[in-house]
Amino acid sequence: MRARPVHQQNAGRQPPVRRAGSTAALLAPTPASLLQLQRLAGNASVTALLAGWGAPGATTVQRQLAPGMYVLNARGRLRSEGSRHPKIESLRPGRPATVLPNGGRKSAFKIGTSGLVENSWARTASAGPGWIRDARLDPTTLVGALDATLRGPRKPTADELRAVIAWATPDERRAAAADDAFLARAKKALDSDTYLQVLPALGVHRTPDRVKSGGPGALGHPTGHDADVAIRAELAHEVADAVKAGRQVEGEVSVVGDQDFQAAFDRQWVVAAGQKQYIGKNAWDICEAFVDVNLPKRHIWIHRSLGDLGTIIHEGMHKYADSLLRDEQIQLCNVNKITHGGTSRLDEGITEYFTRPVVVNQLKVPRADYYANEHKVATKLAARFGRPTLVNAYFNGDFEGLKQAFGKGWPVFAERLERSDWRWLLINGWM
Amino acid sequence: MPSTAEEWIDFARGRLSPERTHLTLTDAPPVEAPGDLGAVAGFGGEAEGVDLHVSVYVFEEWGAGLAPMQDLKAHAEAQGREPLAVVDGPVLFFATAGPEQEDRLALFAVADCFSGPRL
Repeated sequence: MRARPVHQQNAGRQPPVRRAGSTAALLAPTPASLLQLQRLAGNASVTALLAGWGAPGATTVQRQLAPGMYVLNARGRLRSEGSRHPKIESLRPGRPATVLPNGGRKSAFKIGTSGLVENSWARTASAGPGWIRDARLDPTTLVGALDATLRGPRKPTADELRAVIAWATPDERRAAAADDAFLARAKKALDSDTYLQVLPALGVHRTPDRVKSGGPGALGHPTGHDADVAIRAELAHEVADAVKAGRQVEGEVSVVGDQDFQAAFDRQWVVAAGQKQYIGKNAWDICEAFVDVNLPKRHIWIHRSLGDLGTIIHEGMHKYADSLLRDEQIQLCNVNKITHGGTSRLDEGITEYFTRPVVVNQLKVPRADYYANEHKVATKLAARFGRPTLVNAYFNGDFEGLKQAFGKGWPVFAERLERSDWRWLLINGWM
Repeated sequence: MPSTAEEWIDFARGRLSPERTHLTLTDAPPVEAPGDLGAVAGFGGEAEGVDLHVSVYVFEEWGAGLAPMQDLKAHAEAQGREPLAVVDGPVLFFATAGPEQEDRLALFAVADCFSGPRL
């Protein structure tokens, strides 16, 4: 639970300080009084900044509301940090705002003729950061903030909703992601594309409908966070640069049920990829997971009741990969008119090559033979040219290094692999 | 989404349809009886013209096929056969092939179908 704002924490107590409007001022503060003030302010959730500001000989306590989700209880303004705090945005009642750590800024200042007031360093879905008067802000939850955004005078954009979600705590996101009633309201209020963009931002993660009664997999698919932990633990050296570049699974994956899986599938494969043969088909009859390969943000979608424990590791591994290898192989497919569905056999094989030890060593379960053929080829490549060559080609973008190690036969090999010409690959010792 | 064991069996048969595998599978007993593995349903099949056997099991729980998968694969390898296993939700797909090149190629074709199309 989030700490309540200071003015609520103090309610009913005898403050050791003199009130000056909403600003507490200490006369000749002593260590004891400072300690008492710190207790009243709660733990680190509130910034209490002592500043030499206010009446002569007095110290004014600068503070603001605890970081978290709030909603406007009356008309208000988001103001900039400038000397006269000009308006950034007018705020209507019911508008959500996120209070952020103020980084030591003075939160008590005069505005126009209204005198000295306490303010909180905050941002709204569309603007900020800036200052909002504390008295205008009531605490709420992430769901409350998102509901308030949905009730606004116009439909919010995905970016605006993500801005609200971005500052929520993991617990708040989990609560919102598991709130069926809220998700139903969001689906009704938003267009399908915006709704689908909100799901990975929240980290929607459904359990299977035939949930396991115990042991590994009892909760269904691991979370995006769990996938990051497992991949980084097993492949710390290999993904070091990818981690520095900010690549991760968390926030990029949604584990969903029938309706959302179907909607995401149709958006990617029927609309964006133009695969007309999938019109009217059940997405779960076609695949257990996929990546939005034709959309600007390549989110991962996994059906909650399909796949196994390693599915999210395989799909998540793609997020750590440099895109060069995949992009060049897909370009090769396009030039040679090879049906590829947005994925590359070489890319999938190397992805599975790095996936299996993560599943076995970190999740402690056996890995089924997903991408069995592609994995055989990748394993042969690693045996012949060394695992570091594969690491550099896959994670670090040195695809040229793999091609040079392979030699002049690369173009034929690469084309045969993308054609899934298992006979040629078997005869030539690659399987 | 399938919900009953029968619906999951239909789901699995769809994955192994001739249009996808380019193989003709005739009914045959699965390599182990479903009940012996803790499964609630299952079926088996053999490919025409090659040494390829397929077994499919449906379990009550998601991912439950992982537990018997290891033993099935070890047993097949001990018999000199190449195994292939994929767990998809409550379904365990399991296939074995003989050592000849055409047998292995048939197994590779099945591998492409067990886990759905390349998306």
